[in-house]
Amino acid sequence: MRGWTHFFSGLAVVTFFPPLLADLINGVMWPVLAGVAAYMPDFVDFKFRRFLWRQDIVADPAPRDPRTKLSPRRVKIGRLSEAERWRLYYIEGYIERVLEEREGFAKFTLRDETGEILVVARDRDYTKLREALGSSVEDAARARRRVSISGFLDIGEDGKPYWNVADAPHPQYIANKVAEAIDRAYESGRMVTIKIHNIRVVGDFYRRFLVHYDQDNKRIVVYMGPLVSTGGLPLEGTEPPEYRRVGVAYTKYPFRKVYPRPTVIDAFSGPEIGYVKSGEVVEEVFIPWHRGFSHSITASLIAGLVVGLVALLAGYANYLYLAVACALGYLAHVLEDQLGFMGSNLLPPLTKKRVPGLMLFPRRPGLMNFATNWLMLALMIWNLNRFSPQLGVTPYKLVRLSTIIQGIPAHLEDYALLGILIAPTVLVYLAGIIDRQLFLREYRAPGVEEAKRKETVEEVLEEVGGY
Amino acid sequence: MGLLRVLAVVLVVGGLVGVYYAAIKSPMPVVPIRDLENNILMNYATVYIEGLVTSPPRVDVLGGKLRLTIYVRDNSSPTELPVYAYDPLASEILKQGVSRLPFVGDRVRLLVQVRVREDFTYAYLQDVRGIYILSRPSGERVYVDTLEGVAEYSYVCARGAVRNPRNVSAGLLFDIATTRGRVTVLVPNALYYAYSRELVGAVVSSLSLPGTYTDLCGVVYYYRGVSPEIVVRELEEIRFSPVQPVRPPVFTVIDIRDVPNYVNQNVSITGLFYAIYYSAGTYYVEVRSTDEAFAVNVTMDRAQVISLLNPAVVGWRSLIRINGTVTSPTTIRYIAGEVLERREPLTLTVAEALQQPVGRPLRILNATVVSSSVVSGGNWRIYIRDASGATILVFVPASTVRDLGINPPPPGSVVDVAGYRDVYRGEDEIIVISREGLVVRG
Amino acid sequence: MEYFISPIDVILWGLMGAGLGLALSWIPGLHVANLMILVLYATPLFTGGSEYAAPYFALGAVVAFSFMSSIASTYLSVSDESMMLMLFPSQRYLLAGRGHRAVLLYCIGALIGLLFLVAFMTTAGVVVMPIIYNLFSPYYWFALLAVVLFMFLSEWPKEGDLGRSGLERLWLAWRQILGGLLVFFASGVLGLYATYSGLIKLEVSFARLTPLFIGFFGLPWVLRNIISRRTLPPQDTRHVVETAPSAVVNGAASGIIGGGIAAFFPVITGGMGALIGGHMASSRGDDAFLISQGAARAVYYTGALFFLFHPTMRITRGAVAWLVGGLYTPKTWIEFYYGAALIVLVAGVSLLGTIYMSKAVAKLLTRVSYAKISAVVAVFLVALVYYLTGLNGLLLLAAATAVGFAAMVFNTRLSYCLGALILPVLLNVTGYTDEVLTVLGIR
Repeated sequence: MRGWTHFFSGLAVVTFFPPLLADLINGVMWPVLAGVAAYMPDFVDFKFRRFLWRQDIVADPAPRDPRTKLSPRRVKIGRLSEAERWRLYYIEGYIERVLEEREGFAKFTLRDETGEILVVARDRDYTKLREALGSSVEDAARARRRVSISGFLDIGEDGKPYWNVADAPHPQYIANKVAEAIDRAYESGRMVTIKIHNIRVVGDFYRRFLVHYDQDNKRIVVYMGPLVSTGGLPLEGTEPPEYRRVGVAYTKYPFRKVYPRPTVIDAFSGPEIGYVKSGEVVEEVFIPWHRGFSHSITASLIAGLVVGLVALLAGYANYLYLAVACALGYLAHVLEDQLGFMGSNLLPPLTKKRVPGLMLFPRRPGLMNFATNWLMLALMIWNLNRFSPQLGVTPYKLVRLSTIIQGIPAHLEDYALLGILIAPTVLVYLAGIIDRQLFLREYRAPGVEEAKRKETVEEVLEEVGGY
Repeated sequence: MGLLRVLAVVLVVGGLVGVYYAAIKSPMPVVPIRDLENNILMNYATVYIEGLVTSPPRVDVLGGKLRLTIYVRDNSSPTELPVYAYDPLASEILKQGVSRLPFVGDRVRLLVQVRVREDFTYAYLQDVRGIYILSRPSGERVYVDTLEGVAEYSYVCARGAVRNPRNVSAGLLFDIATTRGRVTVLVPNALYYAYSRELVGAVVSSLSLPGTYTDLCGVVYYYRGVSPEIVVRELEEIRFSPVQPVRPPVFTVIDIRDVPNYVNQNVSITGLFYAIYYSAGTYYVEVRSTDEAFAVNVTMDRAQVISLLNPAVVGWRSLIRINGTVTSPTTIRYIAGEVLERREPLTLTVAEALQQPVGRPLRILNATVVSSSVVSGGNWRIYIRDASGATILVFVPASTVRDLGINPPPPGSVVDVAGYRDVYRGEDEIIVISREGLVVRG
Repeated sequence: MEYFISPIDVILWGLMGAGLGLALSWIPGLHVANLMILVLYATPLFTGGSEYAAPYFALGAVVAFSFMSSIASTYLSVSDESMMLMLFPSQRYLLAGRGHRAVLLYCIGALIGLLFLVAFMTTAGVVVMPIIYNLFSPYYWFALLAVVLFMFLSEWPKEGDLGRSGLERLWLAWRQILGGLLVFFASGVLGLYATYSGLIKLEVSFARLTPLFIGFFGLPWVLRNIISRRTLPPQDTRHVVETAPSAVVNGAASGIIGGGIAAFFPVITGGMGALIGGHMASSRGDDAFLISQGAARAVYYTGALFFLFHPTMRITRGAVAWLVGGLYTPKTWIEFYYGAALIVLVAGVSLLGTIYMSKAVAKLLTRVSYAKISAVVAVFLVALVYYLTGLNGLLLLAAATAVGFAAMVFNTRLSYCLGALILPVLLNVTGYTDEVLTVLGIR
């Protein structure tokens, strides 16, 4: 469900309480807090929990320039160390000596104010280097031009460090970090969270990479991919050359792969991934800070209580109605999320396990979202219609079905109207049940896992569209 | 980037400070009303206007909110500019009492926001502190016996017995019988919101009683430009005897179920308006306790029923207060009363109305006249039908016919009917007793 | 039967208005209401019997504006991705040489939105709209406050990733939101000063917000262009779009919902409505976004004015409707249906005009320096503000530019600058105008 759907549900809850409506008509705006309460679970997660969540390991394969907010940024040669190996930067200086240059290969040294380093350019990286320099390496050296060369630090077979010319980091760095996280999770017995930063480059493109969990062989395989736009479309001709496309790291301990596909990291801001020992294996918890206590019935009661107390202390007369409306609005969010895949732990601390969602309409989440919006609008219209006379807004109910449709008796007309208004939503939800059955039959557990992952990514991605 | 952010904040604050200093040196001008009228470029302009308030302030309840209306005229233009204030501003103004309320005859300066529509211009008050009352009619207590020749907006007093009190949309209108004739007085409904409910109730009940001796002052206003009346500005200016100040009449407040213990005493009860019956020239209004377990009948005459409990306005189960004398364990003779919580009239279809018990006050909307006839005595018998398919008789007694002042609606016309249920000679009917109880729509 | 206006007059005046709209709407920061005000202020065009034409002139201008303003938002709103952590899709398209495609997508959305508007208003809308109006009108301000709150709640903190500790990340994220609050309240204060003080001469009080809006939305892009130092790549001006039918449907639906909400509820603008519409219809993807923007803006501006034509529903929405309604409010069903037909006609004309203008601007921009164009437009805007509102207006313009600049620097929504309109209204309906004006020193 999109954020507005939850917020809208909170607003719809307000319309069930005539005293709150009367206040709104008179310019007393307290009831809007019910909408805020309905948004709260995601607000708490995305605006607080996410930032405060401990990042045990940080994998930043291509640190960004603080001014331009893009990768690569400059690193001084004197600062390069083992910790920087495989990470994308650029070095800047003068070409000292050209040791070798031929088609598809160049080896030379570069000096800046802090030191000197051997630079190697291979295959397509050599071609790109020539394009960037606008000439051969030889000519650039002779012209004593100041050059910038992006790439990463690597260690040669002889154990000596050199600068590998490249436009992407080596995936080995990421693979190592992930393996480290898994091992640490096993050893410590508690959740270890790794933050994997994404790679943003000039032109608002992102370097895509995939983390593949090969549980049979206890290894993490990371594939470095092409540049993609924020919409996810790859840019032609930006795939890395073979020699630096794959990184493999082995873990000491076994892990279980739950999600059937590789984890893709591109435009969506780098994820936090939690690893936790479960039995004898380590499991992945994608975006561990989402859908925790904040998405529970317990939290909704607390929300109502807090709002009620604040309103009472602030002297708002209808504080009790407001408290109930806020609790119900918050609860609406929790229940709406239960219509999806991930589900939540509903009654902590009494319950410990996550209650899986109802998984309605797996193949058309957009339609579920729209149908829920429609439901809320229908409830608003229904309530505003039947309460208008007692609020003094209109002298009588605007929509009186008993006067439009002969067969409906007056004391049932409200229910009939409600039925007509919510019918489209009910139909969509019913279709959602059927789709669920068909989906499960076809895709089974892996399909469910994939849908869960997609749901998480969608929720976090929504935050990306914050125009 | 951090530097840019700091710079941005500094620039914003600097900009606001600069604007502040410029603004406090640029006072809002006073604009002649002539420059506002029909000038579309003035739409939404916030300005001061200065002029004379030419009508009593009036409060309407629209869409659940209060709306205060006054009219202002200055010398630039002969037309009066309507100035409105909606809730919450309206309530705020009224809560502060008459000191902040622009009243007829006052010279005021008002901060308003203008709206220019195709054929008329009006304005909205912006805030309480934008109301300046520059001068107000006042003076010593000068008594008049008649308002003939008295200048508009002068401050005068009158004393005498109350005659012919009636509720109008602008408030409570009544006459005072002076030594030389009659003086019309209006208590504008704005005052109902400016004072406490107890005081308003006390004053209004007393003034609603013909014969009460009263002594009051107010501002002279010519209604429609021709009928002079005194508009009371402060309820404290109303006295009920030559010497003593307002003393609320003594009615012992009791519970309905205790009525049998108070025979021959003056009591005040609160209850639900439940039914209207009629017998031999007297109306019996059934009032029930809020749990509907106990009931008393209140005897009233027709004028009193219409004035307090007009079925077109006051609906079944409205909460009312009745002050009167207990004449029997189950009957109270009406003296004064007040509607505490008005409910909308019970709106039903004809089929539903036929199911209602005798005495039930109700309303039917958008019914079609099937036949109408005038019978002996000048009463009307009109049969109506609506979408429910049922038909019922509407009986309009001659006294109501006189008030209506129209011809009987012909068959096919669409009417709204408000009255109470009765059965006469085995036939179900609705009796319409007030003028608003029969509205012909087309 | 005599009519006030003949179909020929409707078409002529409507096309004249469209001409004005097409000629001037590409200027960034200039709202169609400003255009109408300029016309009415500068020439007595609608006096002496031709008042009946004013609504159609305005309708033509507004429809043309809905299409042509895409030129400004696509071509004249360049930004560097280092300045803003998130580029607008139209900017991304422009930087990839595909600005024209962005305009085409936008126009598709606008066309669909307008066709839907006309179809709905002339059929189901006749019955449904009065009911919706009566049910929801007491709650306008509740809706406004709710939407503003939602805008703040749903803002995505773009910089929260960069901190090293939890608290630092929290601060970096919330810094953006706090920046948004600063922008909203600062613009609100400016709006209060512009409305409730004598800074703006009475004769031009209709333009009291013009310096502010040009300062918020017009001038900051000039600054962006100067700081940005970016050159535009050559633009592909072929008539090609890359999209899918589902994206068109989805984008149009979200835009129509958003534009409809914005048209119906007072003060809520097209951008705010589009945010909600996008959420309701789960809009995703650059192409759907651009289509939804087109639909939202077209439905919003045109719908708001078109309500004025509805004979049984007295809704006046937006500055153009108030202006025009003050001259003459259409009263008959015939005028309503003329208006509907005119919308369709002008939509077609504007579509063509916008497409060709887009090609022309694309070619121009690669030849003329960006900075030069920015400078020319900036001088024009400043001169306009001075002409209308004098030195005090320039002061307000400067302060508003600072606020718009702050919005840019804090990476927060530019829509928060609408606080200049929203805050005074919210204070009014909740009854706090008094206290605030006292604090501001103008009471």
